[in-house]
Amino acid sequence: MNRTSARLLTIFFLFAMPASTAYEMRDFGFGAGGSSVSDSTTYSSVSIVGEQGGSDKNVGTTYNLGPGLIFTQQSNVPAAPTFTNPSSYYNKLKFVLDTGSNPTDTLFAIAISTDDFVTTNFIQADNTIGASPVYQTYSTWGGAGGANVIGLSVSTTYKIKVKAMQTKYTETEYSVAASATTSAPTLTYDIDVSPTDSDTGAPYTVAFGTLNVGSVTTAADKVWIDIDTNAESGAAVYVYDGAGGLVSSNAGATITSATADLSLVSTGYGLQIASVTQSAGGPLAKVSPYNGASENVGVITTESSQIFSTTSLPITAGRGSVYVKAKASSTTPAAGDYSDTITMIASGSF
Amino acid sequence: MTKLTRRHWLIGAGMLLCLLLGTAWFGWQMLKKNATGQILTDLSDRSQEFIDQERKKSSSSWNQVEFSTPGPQSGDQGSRFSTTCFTISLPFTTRDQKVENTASSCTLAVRVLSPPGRLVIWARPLRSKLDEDTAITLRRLKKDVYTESTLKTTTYGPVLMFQSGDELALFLASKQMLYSFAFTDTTTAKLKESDLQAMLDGFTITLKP
Repeated sequence: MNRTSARLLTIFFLFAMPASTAYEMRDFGFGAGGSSVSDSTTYSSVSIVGEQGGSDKNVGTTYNLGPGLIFTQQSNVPAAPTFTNPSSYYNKLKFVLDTGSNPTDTLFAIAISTDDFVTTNFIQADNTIGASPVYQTYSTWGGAGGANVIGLSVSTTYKIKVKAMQTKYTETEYSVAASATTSAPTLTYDIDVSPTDSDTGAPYTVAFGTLNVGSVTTAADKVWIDIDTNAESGAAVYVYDGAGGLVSSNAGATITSATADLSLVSTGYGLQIASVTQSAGGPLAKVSPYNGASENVGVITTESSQIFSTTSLPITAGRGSVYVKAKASSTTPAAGDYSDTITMIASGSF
Repeated sequence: MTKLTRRHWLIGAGMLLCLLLGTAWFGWQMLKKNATGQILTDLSDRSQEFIDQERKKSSSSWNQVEFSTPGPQSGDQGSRFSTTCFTISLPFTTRDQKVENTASSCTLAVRVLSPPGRLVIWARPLRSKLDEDTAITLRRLKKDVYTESTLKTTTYGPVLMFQSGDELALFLASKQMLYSFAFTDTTTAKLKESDLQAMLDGFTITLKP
């Protein structure tokens, strides 16, 4: 066929394009790549002439090859997302999407499953899990910082995979899946009694020795607490006692506990936080009225009062210590059995 | 027998009589001391002067020291006492009773003459179980100081008892109240079990404060 014949054949096909009263293919290609998007008020279609449809692809262990225009115009398949449990989360996991070098207006949907996608759900716009896919941009899914999928079950392995879409007919297949496991909810708590930071065992006793009249006595031993929790809203330590003071059956008397500056009152008894530390999270915080200095103490009553807080956040290796202080007056009956039972409990907000 | 010899005999008999009378008087005094348990020695003038000076200082611990005239006195009290929480008949002679009733507790403090010491009976709310009260836990923690046992009573059954060198305490729980009977500064060996049982059998819980 000479060059003139080829031109005539091309013109023939160009003017013999398919048409109907309802649809019109306004443009289509021929040979190696002519294609067109055809729209009406009701339907749209993508047409290609001279190429195979592209429903099949060659699948390898590392790469897949999708032939034809459909695969060509699809968005790039994202790489597997980063899916982790960075802080012993028991009800959430962190994900960071891979853009797949797609444009910034590309939308991503994230599928999630606990049974290797026999059952598939999707991460919703509020980061909970729902049945329908939700498409958002990379930045809306948290960008490079990622986001947490929430409302998960404890001690469960989840898998997520991501698909991308920029406009119509561009949605990709799913990425490779990534998995992460939620932890069990934990709260570790311990008490020690020692002058310095060290582990001790029960029974936990703090001795004042002799209370000198008119001066504040601080027990040599301090009460130490260990607290470690992954509780979503942190934890708190509470304190209460048996009778609101140091009680003596022999004297029939009580050195009553009070929130006071013991250097200014004639008699009293209470607690003062000496130190707070942690290795991560929190921080562990002193709670008023136990956060005083000098001889200021907080009252201990038969009702529990918060003495430590993890600032509404999980905490790792929180450690606090408490002074026990007392003062007797000249009218305090002498006796050798003044005592109190102090109870300190920890509570997590999961 | 010559007149001189008879006189010698009379002098000797007189001396012997005086010796016997003196011995009898001393023996009586000793018996009386044991019977009341009182130390019969008065303070010396110098001691009294020192204490009087000390007690003029408001912060002196001497203000807490109670002084008593030795031996039974006309003002000594009977054995039956009442608070708003309880009544009790004590099988001891007592003195210097103090009763204090508050909204939540009652206290009776008396000085016991025999054996000498102090007795404080205290009724107060029991916040938890008897075993968890600080008075009990303290004494059980200090096993080297306190000896634990039980005292059988007719009215209240077995009652917890703790003894140390100079103190003895009984603990009884009833209707969310703790009743403690604490003898201090006493010779616990001289506190008869029968007297303690009689004390508890003469103890009647009345109303909560």
